[in-house]
Amino acid sequence: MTKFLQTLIILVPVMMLGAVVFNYLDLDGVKTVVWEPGSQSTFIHGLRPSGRVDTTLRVGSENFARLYGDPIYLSVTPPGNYQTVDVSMWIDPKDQPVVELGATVNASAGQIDLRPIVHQTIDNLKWEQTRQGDLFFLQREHVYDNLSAFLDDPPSLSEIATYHYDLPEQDLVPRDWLRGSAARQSNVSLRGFHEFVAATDGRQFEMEVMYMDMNRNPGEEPVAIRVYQDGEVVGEVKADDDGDASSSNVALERKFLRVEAPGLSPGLIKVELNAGNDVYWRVVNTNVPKMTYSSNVHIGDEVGYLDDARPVTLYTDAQHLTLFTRHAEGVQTVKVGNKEVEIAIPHERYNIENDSVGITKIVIPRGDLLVVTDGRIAFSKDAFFNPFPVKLDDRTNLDKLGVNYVVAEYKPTTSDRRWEVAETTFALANLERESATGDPTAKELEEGSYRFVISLPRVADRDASIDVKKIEMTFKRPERTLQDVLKLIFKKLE
Amino acid sequence: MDRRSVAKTLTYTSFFSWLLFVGVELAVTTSVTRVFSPHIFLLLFFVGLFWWYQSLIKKKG
Repeated sequence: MTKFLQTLIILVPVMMLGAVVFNYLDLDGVKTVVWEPGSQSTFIHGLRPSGRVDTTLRVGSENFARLYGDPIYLSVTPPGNYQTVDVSMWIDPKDQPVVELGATVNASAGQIDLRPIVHQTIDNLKWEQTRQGDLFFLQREHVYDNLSAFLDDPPSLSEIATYHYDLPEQDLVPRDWLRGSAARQSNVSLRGFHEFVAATDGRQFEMEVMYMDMNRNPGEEPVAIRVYQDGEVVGEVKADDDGDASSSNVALERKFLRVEAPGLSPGLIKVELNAGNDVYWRVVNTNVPKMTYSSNVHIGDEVGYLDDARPVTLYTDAQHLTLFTRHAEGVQTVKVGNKEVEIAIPHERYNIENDSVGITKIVIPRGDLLVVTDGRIAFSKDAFFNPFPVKLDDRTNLDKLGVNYVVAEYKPTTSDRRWEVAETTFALANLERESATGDPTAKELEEGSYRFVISLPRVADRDASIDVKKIEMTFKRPERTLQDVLKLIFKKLE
Repeated sequence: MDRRSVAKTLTYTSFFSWLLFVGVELAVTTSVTRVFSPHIFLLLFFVGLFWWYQSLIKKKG
């Protein structure tokens, strides 16, 4: 009896070691980890920051977390080396229209691979729907038999809204985009980084700029202008700092740059004016008739350039705008269409909803204003064009905008009692791993956690929240046999 | 049954098992804790130690 008990006592940890090894090897290549509020998970490290999440809620026997801030972070230590992860979330979106889940690709560049989780606008549309793989095509009335027919002969861009989907570029550039005299912009000083799009019929693109480094902040301010087509750089010019890296508040000289981009194909080009906030772009002249800036512009002051501030007029098709100034000199009354908006306090954000559809004129009497929009911006009405469809976000009003077609890369949720179950998949090779230390070694990065982000756009503005009951992550890689494992071990030992 | 021998085996086995599993967990994070907590062996170590002590007292008594 003694011997038997002793043998049993010794065998138990041996068997447990075997279980640990077998579990770790994960021969079938599938490992599921689960996080639920109130429980500790070895792999999923909870929702943070705590000021935006309440994980102590309970209804009946169900625990759930309430998320009422944006964004919410989730660190995940993978249970080994896997290739993909399928994420399932049990959520109740309540009155939050859009919920997305992202994974960090490059934290220092702010690059996140964002995926749709819930889009209530799409879910609630009673339009004709067809699916083609991961693509969801909805039309207000039946015009096209399917998505392919729609893409072969699309309607005007203003009737189309997309969500996580880029329409294929058309071979023919609409004539309207090429009509008119060359866009010349000398009536506004833009501060810092900006980008705009233009259209070309294949001719060489040329641009001349005049800029000033106002040396408001310490540090060098090199400048680069890049022209892109189809994601490739087709033209570039650079300039070094003006030689004054102090915060002298004086521009040494006006500087001129010229960029050319030959060998273009008909279509869109994107131009980046790449510089820090000390650089003011005073003049931008191109040889194309249309140029519109993407979403946001920073209208600078004229100190050190002109004697007085000057009014700036811009044109936008945005439905939602935010205006703010960083300086007391920027306090003014801005005219947005027929509305007057009092910018009374520096650093305060003024949110405006545009009542009208189409192009709205904005007059900024004293410049020195940041304009953040959900549309495009031009500094003359003739230069305005929007070569993109409507982006379907949490505030888009499809009826108001006259949108009749939606194309979305979106998998609608399934129901599990009061919960919606949303699913998405990430390829892990593309994702960045973070380390607990500030200066990680390569090994620490290789073994670090993935950082996921739950995005709830403008959830605090609308005083909304979502409930999360469970997050399940299924890590996958190809199956392996014991032979494969032995080969791996020998390889590591070599 | 020789209680003292069983208690002694339990004590030693638990202690070295605890060391082993904590070492494995430190070397390969979550490899052990995804299955069980290694500190269960620490608990068994103290149980064994107490049992061993009890068996020594009874023998003397």
